[in-house]
Amino acid sequence: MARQFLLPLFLLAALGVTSASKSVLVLLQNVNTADKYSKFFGSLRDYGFDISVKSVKDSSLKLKEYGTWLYDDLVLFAPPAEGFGGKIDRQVILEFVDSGHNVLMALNSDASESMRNLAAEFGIDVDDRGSKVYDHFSHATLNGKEDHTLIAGGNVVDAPVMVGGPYKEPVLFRGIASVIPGDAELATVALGAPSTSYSHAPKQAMLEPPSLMVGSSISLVTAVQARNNARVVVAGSLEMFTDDFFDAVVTVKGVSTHTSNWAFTVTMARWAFQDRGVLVASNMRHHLLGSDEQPWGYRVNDDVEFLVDVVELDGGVPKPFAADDIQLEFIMLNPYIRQPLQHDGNGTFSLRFKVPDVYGVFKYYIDYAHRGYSYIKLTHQVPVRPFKHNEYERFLVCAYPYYASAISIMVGFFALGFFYLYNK
Amino acid sequence: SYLIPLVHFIKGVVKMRLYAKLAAASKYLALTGICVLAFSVRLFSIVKYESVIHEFDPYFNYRVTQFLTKEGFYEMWNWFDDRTWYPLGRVIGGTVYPGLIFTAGTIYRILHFFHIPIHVQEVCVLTAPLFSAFCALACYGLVSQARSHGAGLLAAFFVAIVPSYISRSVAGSFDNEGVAIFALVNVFYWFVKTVNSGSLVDAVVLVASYGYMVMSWGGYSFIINLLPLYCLACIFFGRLNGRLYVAFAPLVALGTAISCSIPVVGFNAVLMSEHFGAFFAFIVLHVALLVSYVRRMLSTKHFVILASMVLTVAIALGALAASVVVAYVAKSPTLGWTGRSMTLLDPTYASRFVPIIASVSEHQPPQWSSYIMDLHMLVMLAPAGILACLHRLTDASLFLVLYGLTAVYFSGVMIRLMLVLAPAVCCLSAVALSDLMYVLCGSMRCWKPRFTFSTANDSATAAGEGGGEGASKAPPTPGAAPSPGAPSSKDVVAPSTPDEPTSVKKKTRSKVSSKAAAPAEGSKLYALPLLVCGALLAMILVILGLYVVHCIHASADMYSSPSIVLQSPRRDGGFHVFDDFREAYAWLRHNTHPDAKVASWWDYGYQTTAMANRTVIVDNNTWNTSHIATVGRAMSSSEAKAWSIYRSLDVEYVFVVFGGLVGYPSDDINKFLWMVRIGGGVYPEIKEPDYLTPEGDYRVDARGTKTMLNSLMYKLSYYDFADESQLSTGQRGVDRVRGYPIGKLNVKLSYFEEVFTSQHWMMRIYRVRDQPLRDPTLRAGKKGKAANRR
Repeated sequence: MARQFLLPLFLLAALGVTSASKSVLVLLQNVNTADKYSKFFGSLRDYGFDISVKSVKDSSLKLKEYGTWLYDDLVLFAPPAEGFGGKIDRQVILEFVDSGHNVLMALNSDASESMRNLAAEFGIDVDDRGSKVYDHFSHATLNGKEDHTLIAGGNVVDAPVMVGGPYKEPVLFRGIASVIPGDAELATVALGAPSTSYSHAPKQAMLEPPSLMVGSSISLVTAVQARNNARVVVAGSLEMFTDDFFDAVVTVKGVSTHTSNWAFTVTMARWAFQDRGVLVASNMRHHLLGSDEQPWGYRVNDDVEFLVDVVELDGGVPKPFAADDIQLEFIMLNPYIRQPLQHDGNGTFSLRFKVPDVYGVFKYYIDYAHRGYSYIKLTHQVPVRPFKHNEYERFLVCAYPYYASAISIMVGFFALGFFYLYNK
Repeated sequence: SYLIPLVHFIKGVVKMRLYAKLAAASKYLALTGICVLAFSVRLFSIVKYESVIHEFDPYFNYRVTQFLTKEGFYEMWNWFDDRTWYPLGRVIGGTVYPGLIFTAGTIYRILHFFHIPIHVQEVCVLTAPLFSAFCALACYGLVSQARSHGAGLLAAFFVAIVPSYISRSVAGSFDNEGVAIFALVNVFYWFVKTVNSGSLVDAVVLVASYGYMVMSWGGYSFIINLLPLYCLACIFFGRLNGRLYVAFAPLVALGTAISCSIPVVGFNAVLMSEHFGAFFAFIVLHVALLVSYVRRMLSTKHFVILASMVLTVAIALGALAASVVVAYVAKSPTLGWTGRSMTLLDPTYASRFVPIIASVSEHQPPQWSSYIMDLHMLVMLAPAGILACLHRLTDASLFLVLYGLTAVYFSGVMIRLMLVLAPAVCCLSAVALSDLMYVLCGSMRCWKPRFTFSTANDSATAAGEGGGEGASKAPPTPGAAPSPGAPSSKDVVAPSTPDEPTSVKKKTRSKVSSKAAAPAEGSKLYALPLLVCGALLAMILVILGLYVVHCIHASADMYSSPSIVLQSPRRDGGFHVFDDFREAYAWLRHNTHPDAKVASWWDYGYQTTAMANRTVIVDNNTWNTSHIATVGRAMSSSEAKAWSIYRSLDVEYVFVVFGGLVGYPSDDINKFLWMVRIGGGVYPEIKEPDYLTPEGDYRVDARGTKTMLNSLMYKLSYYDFADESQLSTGQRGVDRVRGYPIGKLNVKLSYFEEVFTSQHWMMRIYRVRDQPLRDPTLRAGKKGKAANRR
């Protein structure tokens, strides 16, 4: 019995599939409110996540024990929490992310300073405490009550692997705004605010001149993928994860509609927990055409083939990845070759090319950063040597006149010498 | 009864043979002694330190030799080294002068063939001393061709221990010069021998030894310019003959072919201006021979007519050809000369245009004191040698004069070329000293009457023979008689020259006669007083003794330091050993990834590849200026910029050599201005005045400029220095090399992290931090707690 159970487990483990036992720690402001998110957590459990819910002030909290991380993912549903109980603090959470684990944070207008600082560590600027996102045009009416902070016209990013969709129904949002720097490399706006929205704290005096977060520069839900592929999602609204919003029937601009919150948040959470959009590149190899061995290096002008296998893990199940935009570079100071890799449909990407007529220490370089997918960054060093002394052509056609002149002068010298010495 | 004369004859023969054998034996004994001396005087470095490879370049040669012994000849010939000059790589086989490496590899092979299991490092360590012994032999040969065997022995003795040559050939100094000086003198020896003998066999050996020289050292261009110069001088002085042709023509033709087939020279042998002189002399030589041939064939009247006709045509054609050549040469900015040659012709060239050449200390002009230091009393004797050579000008002594004069000029331009000067000075000094001693000993012999009579006859025959050969022989005419009180006694007597026969036939006869003739060339009348002779001889002996003492001192105390291990005397009489370099290289070797790239200033490139076995960005083979400039730029830039430069080169570790804690003066801070200059030469954003105080001083104290104190070099050198200096010397932040407190005590690094600092802080290794995993926003950065860059 145990064997029958263990074998597939081993196989799964061998495939790098860990989602079957992925454990998630959820920290709530108040454990008793867990029921509000029952559908969200239920869906995650259906996807195989092992969810433990604890209070943010729980004194037994810890992420790490004896150098081992106890959880794979962390959910912070406690916007007002100024600190954490137990052995968790901001530094531990950063360490958690830096070691490749994921965090899903939900904030709201009451978001504490420490939560905002935490978000800032991931490159997200959250607006001041007490501010809300307003929209006087694309808001929703819920239960007959018109609420200008209940945003319904958010722009879901066009990255199905990250957020699912496309969604016909709106994603409801009520909460705080955040922005990411214009040159952010790692952060993506997963749910952008409508262009008519703005962020404002009603109890605070307006700054003069007003410096507001306005329009589509506001990010409602931000997805960050760190350089080690750890993922962080910061949602400006905690309510968007509640059963209430999942089931709500709202009126937007006079049209009654269901919401997409359930699908959106669960997909987003699965993405955050690296259950979706994970690419694994492996078995990088290269060889001369007509040979299967991987050489130490090439000679200039060799014809070579480069191959790499890329699989996409979806729910822990590997399936061949297909894309036309993975580029291979062949670099020595500058890229001499930069071409998209061809794929064969089974996850093997390849490119045949001619090594440039330049010797040096080249490197293969793939830097694939497609929105929603984990990064592929591969380098592999290959020296390219010049011709050896015996690899040049022995006789050149264009040099025949020179050969002729050399031979003729030798013959002439010999004849003259012979004549001079013996003709007396 | 008729047997008696036969017996006498046989007895005489046996006696003569015995004397000859004794003379030869003592000569060979002396030569052996000189060789042993030359070898052993260079072993101080092993005795005082250990058997290690010295300095910088020898490490590269050592590494290539290791490769050669492991992988074989063809692998080395085609070796593409991917561990230097990353990412450009270096074609070792095509860019190295392989003579030294092949030599050491061959010695290694031979020893191992006889099952003598010696490590390749020991072979490399001892190659230079071995070849300095050979060089002494070559000098002996050269001078005995030019003057006499006695002078040859003196020359061999001088060159065996001359400090200038010792400085580059002590045990462990496995540099090209170690074999190249031998090769140089060897070529000269065979050239002079060929000029004297006119033998084609000698000419072939000459070509072969020239091939070896080209293989060994870039300095071969000195030969290929000196020999044409000599050739032209011979034509000019009317000393043109067939022997010169036999010596010179095959050398140009075959020598050029040989140098073409050495990859590092290749087509330079016909394209670069360095070699034009040889071709020019080649042509002139042929023309001159043709003219003399035609003159012999035709009557004077016809010859004049022909000459005027040919001259008209030749001038027209020559002008045409010259304009073509000038046009070709003028296309190149350096007029077809390599940078190093330009530096020699125009000593200010490098400092104006090629900072890399100017930055090397051995490319600086020497101080006058180094002539005394490196040559000692030979400096005084050499001019006398030139006079002595000119006084009795022969083909060979003319060559010595030309060699001496050109070498003096070149040594004045570059301190490194003192090496070329050293054998010349030794040879000339030997000529001078041996002439002097001939006179003195001859005078002394004159006072012993029983020798006077018997040798007077011989001397007459010898003089008669010599007189027949030409005016240059300076026969003992009345003009050579001493004016009363003439100080230079060597002018009085003109000892006959043994080895300058016009033909092979005459050679033996003049040799025999000269041996007997020499001591009593002057008669009793011209001889100096016995007392004067004795005093002068004693003085010479004392000077020679002083020379030996000086040379031993120079070898033992000045030139034996391997420069990777340093010593400083302690108060209790012992030595404090600074072994920081090897410590740091060993750290790199054991603690970093084998493929890690290490950046440093180029001086340390060879050592890093050889000792740490890590890939370097630039090294002492300064073939690519812009790549070196990139490293110089990084060192001169701010930390953030340097980080991105190093990242773009895949550099993982950066090290600097820092002497401020122990007072080691040749550290990177002192070399820094060269980095700025070289970097600024390619990247104009680096400007030298930014690193100098308004008064134009180079300082790293509080008066240093902001750019200077923010440069990466400053930061890497002085990171954490203030605390350490307080601990070790009690003076916070005082740099012991510069002798003042540094400008900025609190040095913070955010893009680099210190990973290793050697015991005396002479080498500090830093890691280039990775890109941060996350990009915190400014808000997080402001809080100051988020500088997470692991």
